[in-house]
Amino acid sequence: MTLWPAQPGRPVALRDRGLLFLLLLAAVCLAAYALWRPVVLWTDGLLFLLLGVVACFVVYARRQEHLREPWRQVARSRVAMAAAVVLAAYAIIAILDSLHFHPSIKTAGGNVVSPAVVSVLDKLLRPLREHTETTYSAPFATHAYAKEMMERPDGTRVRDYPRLRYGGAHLADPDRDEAADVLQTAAVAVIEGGAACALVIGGALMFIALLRRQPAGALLRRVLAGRTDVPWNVVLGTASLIVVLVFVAAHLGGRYHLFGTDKVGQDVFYQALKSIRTGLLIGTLTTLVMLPFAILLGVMAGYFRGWVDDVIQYLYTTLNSVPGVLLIAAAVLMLQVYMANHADSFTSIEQRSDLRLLFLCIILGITSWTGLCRLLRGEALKLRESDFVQAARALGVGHFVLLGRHIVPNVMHIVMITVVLDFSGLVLAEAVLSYINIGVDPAMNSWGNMINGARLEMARDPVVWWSLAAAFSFMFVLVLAANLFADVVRDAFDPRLRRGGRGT
Amino acid sequence: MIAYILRRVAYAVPILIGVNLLTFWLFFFVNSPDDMARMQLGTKHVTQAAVEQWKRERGYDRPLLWNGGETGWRRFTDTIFYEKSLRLFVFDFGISDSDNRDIGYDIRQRMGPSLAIQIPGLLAGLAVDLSLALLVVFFRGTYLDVWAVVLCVVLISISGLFYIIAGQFLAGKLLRWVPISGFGAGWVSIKFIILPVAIGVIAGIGSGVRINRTFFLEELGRDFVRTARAKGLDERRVMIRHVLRNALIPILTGVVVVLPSLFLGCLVTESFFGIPGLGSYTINAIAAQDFAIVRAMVFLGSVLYILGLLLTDISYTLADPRIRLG
Amino acid sequence: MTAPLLEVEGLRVHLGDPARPVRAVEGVDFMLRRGEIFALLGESGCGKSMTAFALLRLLPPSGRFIAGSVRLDGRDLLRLPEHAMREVRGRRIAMIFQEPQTALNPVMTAGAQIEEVLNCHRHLRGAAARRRTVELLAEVGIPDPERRCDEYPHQLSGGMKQRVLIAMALAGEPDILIADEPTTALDVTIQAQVLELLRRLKQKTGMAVLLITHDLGVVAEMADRVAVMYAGHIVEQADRETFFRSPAHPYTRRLFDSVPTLDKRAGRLAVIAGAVPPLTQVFRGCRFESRCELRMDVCAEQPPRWWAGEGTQRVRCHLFDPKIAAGVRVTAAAAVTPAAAPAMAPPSDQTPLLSVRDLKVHFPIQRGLFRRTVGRVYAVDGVSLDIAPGRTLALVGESGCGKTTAGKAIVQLLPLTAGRVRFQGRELTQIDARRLRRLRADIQFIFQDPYAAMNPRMMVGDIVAEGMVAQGIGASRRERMQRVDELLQQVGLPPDIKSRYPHEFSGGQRQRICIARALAVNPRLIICDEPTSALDVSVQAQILNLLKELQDRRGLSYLFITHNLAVVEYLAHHVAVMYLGRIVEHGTVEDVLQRPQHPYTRALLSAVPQIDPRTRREVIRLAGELPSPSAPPRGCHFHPRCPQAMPQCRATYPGKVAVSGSHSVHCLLYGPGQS
Repeated sequence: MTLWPAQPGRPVALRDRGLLFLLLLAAVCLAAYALWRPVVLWTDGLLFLLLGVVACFVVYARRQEHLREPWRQVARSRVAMAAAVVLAAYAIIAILDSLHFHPSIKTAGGNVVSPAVVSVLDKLLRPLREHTETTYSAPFATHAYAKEMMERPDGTRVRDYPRLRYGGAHLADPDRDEAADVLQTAAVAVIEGGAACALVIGGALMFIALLRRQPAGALLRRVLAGRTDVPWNVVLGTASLIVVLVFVAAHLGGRYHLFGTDKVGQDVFYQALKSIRTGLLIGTLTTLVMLPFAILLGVMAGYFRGWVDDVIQYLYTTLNSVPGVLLIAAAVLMLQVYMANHADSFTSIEQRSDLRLLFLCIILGITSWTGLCRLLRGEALKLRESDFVQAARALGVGHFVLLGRHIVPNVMHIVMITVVLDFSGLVLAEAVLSYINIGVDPAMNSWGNMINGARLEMARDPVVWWSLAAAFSFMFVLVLAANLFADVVRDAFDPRLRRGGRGT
Repeated sequence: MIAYILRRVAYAVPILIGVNLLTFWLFFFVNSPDDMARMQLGTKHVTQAAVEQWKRERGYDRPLLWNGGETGWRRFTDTIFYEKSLRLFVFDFGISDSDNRDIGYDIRQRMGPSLAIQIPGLLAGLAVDLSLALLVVFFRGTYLDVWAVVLCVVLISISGLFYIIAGQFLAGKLLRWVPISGFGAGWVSIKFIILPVAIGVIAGIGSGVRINRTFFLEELGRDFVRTARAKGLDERRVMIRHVLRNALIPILTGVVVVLPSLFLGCLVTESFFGIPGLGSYTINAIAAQDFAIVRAMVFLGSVLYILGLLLTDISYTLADPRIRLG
Repeated sequence: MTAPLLEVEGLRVHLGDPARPVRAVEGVDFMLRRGEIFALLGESGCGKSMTAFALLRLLPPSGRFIAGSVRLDGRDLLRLPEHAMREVRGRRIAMIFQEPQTALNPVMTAGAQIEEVLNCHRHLRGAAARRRTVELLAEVGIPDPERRCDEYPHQLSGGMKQRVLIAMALAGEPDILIADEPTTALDVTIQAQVLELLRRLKQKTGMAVLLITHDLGVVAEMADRVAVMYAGHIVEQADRETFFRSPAHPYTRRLFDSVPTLDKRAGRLAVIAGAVPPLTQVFRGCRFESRCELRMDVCAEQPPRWWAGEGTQRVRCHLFDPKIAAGVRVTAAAAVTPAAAPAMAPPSDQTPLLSVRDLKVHFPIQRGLFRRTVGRVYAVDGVSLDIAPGRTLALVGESGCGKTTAGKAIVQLLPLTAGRVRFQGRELTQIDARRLRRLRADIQFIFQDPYAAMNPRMMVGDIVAEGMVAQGIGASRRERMQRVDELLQQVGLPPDIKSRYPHEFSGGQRQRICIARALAVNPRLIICDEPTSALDVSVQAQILNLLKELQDRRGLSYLFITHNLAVVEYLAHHVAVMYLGRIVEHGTVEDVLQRPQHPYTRALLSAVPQIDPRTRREVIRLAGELPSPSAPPRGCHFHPRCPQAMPQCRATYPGKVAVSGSHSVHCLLYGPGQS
């Protein structure tokens, strides 16, 4: 059963229309953004390229039964779909954070274009970005972390915790009113969020029901009971939960520091959100960088054998024999030297840290393509001897057609599994690398940098735990979702498991 | 067997040459010694004289590949490539850039503490992972199995840094069982070792149990397991004599490949726990931007990895009667 | 008649998802008496192996018992606690498996695996266990048992492994031995040895044997009683004589008719239309109804019950319902006569289409520090043959004799070491790569395993059209697809399957698609590498009919590579028998099969299990097994195993001796010959 009409012919058309609509929407967004003094950083460009590649792949995969069927199986899994919605939420934040532009600032002489680079996300999170305190403050705190000398209205001087400039500044008596205010704001946000979700989902259901000339009630019941092919109840439930959380964060975030502030008084919640882009880019761009090499070299080594194989094997064994961390350390050190000596060629901090991020992706790609390459080589060696490749050779099919039509499609499942499995590992690796100072630029928002900055404060009393908590929990949710999704994808694509499933 | 080992060693030589050339290219071509000197000397307005002196003190004032000013062999040997790169082959690592210490001596000093953490960690981790995986496989198909796998995924999703920070905080600060960092000589060191080893084991449980479980399940599906059951053997014997014994081949050879690399220590653990091993040595070198030490560690790491590959091949032939040398 | 030892009643086993179970075994009843061999006969997927596993309660993880009982001496095994069941396994009922390659633990020595049983059931340990193990190995005919005891499975040949498995089964001194396709993975000469061994052991120990097989010949030679399984249950039971004299169930009869033999070569083989129905469905009427030529209205509505046939024979078929007219049965018998014989292929006295001279394919063995070539595998070592247009040459031999390598070398899929291959007067070995690609259209190859021979990621239409694209046949995609339609129809498939994927088809259908793919480039010669050995007998007949029909219609030549002599009799005009990389006997099919000259050919022919007791010959037992092609024996390759070996056989490889105009042999019994 699907949500789409059952008549043959129509569902495809409707889905294609949906896809077309999405593409159009994306194009309109891009056009609007283009009118806005955009700045396309290197990684932004690559991210858009990646999105383009993914879109092309989706169009291609929809026509290939061997790719479509496993993905359909993934779409039927409740865990995978819930994870996918979470991943999508992260991805949306990352994309918003990748649309950079020069903002205009009001001066005495009217609006001028600022040389600073901000993203759409920054604009959306403006209150968070601008509400900086003087130093540490705990989550939902109304008073600072450390005592200060303050002058009372009556002129006496006392040492006490000063009120925060923004956190709970609207409260007359924080001790009395805070709990009630938080609860009330949250409740309003939950109601608003819930209503918004209900409105959108209800509208969409009505629309679909109208298109299919079905009673909307029956459709709703089927979705709620989970009697649909894709578990829409899980998808919509997870999405609604996220939307409600967004509402709550939006309402509370303007009045309090949800995750406190750091040493220089910056909102930790804002930092954690900004770090999403870094984590996602490292997880995806690395793969994008290494994939062409891994596929091309791996398949060629396995298929052609002989000296081609020798050269490629030598190449990857050599690269692989340098321990990854050390190779990255050496490469990043050299990059630091280069950047320090060519400081003039970078116009802004954003540009410098962006290039460093890109370089980190490349070097991570160089250290990680060897594993996939070896896997693909082994598989190509096996396929080369398989009957269907021999049959194609007996028919007189040329080498490159043979590679493209018989070998590459038959290793795509390995590529897919590797890409999805590698993602979470790369996100975790970013944190470790940044911790040992060979990761992203220290000026860049990333979970690794947050952890690195906060770990020394564990010795303080009371413990400053919120930066760590924010970084770890944002990272954990992303990695857990990716791991759960990857498990389902692997089960769907691994032919060994499928063979076991069918049995005799 | 000897011919086989010799051939494997012979295969390793071109790979080491490749690694050597790669590091040479990375450290001396991407940036010139002048660039490194300026980086080291730190300030923006460095005089050329200071740079020249820095280079002279560390032997970077030679030409890279070919010394035209010399005669005979010296034209080749009196170069950076010979002095700084080729000498690595005889494990002559030279002196460090930042504090003029003998790198070879430091490495020898720091191997002990690294191994003191790594070897107990590896053994304890292997024991815990294998027994837990065996337990999970014993209850395969039940809810215990399902939830164990879910738990593994959750454990894998937690950052390694979290295990360390939380572990240090819990054991060292709240419970005050053991010191959270430091190292001592002799038996005193045990109290410094326990925490990092335990945290290492816990952090590895998720992935360890999951991968070993799949190894076991793979062997369980084989025909000879059915034969063993048809003989009337009990489940314990089937598990230990037939499943475990076959699954141990990939597991053990996976361990052998990392054995030599244990010398290098773990960068993160050692820096967190203040263990004076090779891991923290590397970290300090990175922080101090000491290129000589990083270069030495890169080369040493590759040698140990290649040694690991060699040992893996040999252990395969010992563990698996099907593999014959040829 | 003795009391039953094992009684199976109403056994039902389901597999997989409980919501949509595979009903692998649906109500199986039979019994086994002490000292008899009871054969369970059926094609693949009919549930016979699952029945065997069920008796030992060794179902796969997704399997479960739904109903029924298995009583051993009156005790229901399905109700025993697990620890009591372990006492039954190996001790009362032992089992040997189809695949000796995978059924032994690769990291334990053969002896240790047998000793495990002795420890467990006979409480023998240490030296006593060791002594008994050696005894057992000697008993199953393993030469040098002391040494073999300490060897690992990979050091043993396939036949030897099966003997070790048998020794392992005997170690517990069981009352019942379940043999699940014990010889399917073995060559005929080894099969004959293993069957002989089983028969001897049964006589000696008096145990009962449940023999599971798909081979009518094996049943005819071994069984006392027979049960035929179809789609999850038994459709016919009888003693051997009755069964082979008058098979009753329509399915059984068609099965007999579809076995290819020489006397059927004039016409088409009988086939059973379609394939075994999937066992996920619930059957309303008779399970064979959809494929039965004699179906009646009642067949679709009511499941047939057991009816009596001749003597002890019992049949599950409505035709045997006494209420249904006896006349139906008479027409049933008449319906299986073969169709009229088509015209024979043209005579063979033309110039050969393909002529192979002295073909050699050697693979180097490299060892040592510098990978020096220290030896060679002489896979193909001097093969010469001719194929005339429109004729079929069968290349016969056991596994490892080099026949597939020879086939692949002829189409230049493997590099030749030496020799010449002339096709239509053009020398293929000296042609450049581009011209060779054009010429490939003329010689096509059909593979043994139709499951592996098609790219699972391509649609059937594209698979069939691939050769046309490569060879530039057809101007446009439209034109090519039109031709694909025609080709699919020619091989008996509907054209609308073009946009489907290979995994949706059964083995027989896939082999048809492979044939269509080969035909698409208009070849003159097709090399068929065991194209039917992965298929069931009834499906094999369909493919053989198709190949024969295509030959008659298009004048194709075939090089038919096979180990199955029955297929040779039916299809081939000429036969070449290969042994260890060389052809030892060559002639017309009548020459070689009726008047075999070479001792190896004779042994090979005698080892084939015969259905008809009249054609059964004394089995010529060959000593040992096929030697390694890397170290062929000096002199005549066959002399170490030859029952008629003479001293001079050790010295020289015999030259070619002409027995008649069309028949030649390489054997010193007939003179030195010319080399």
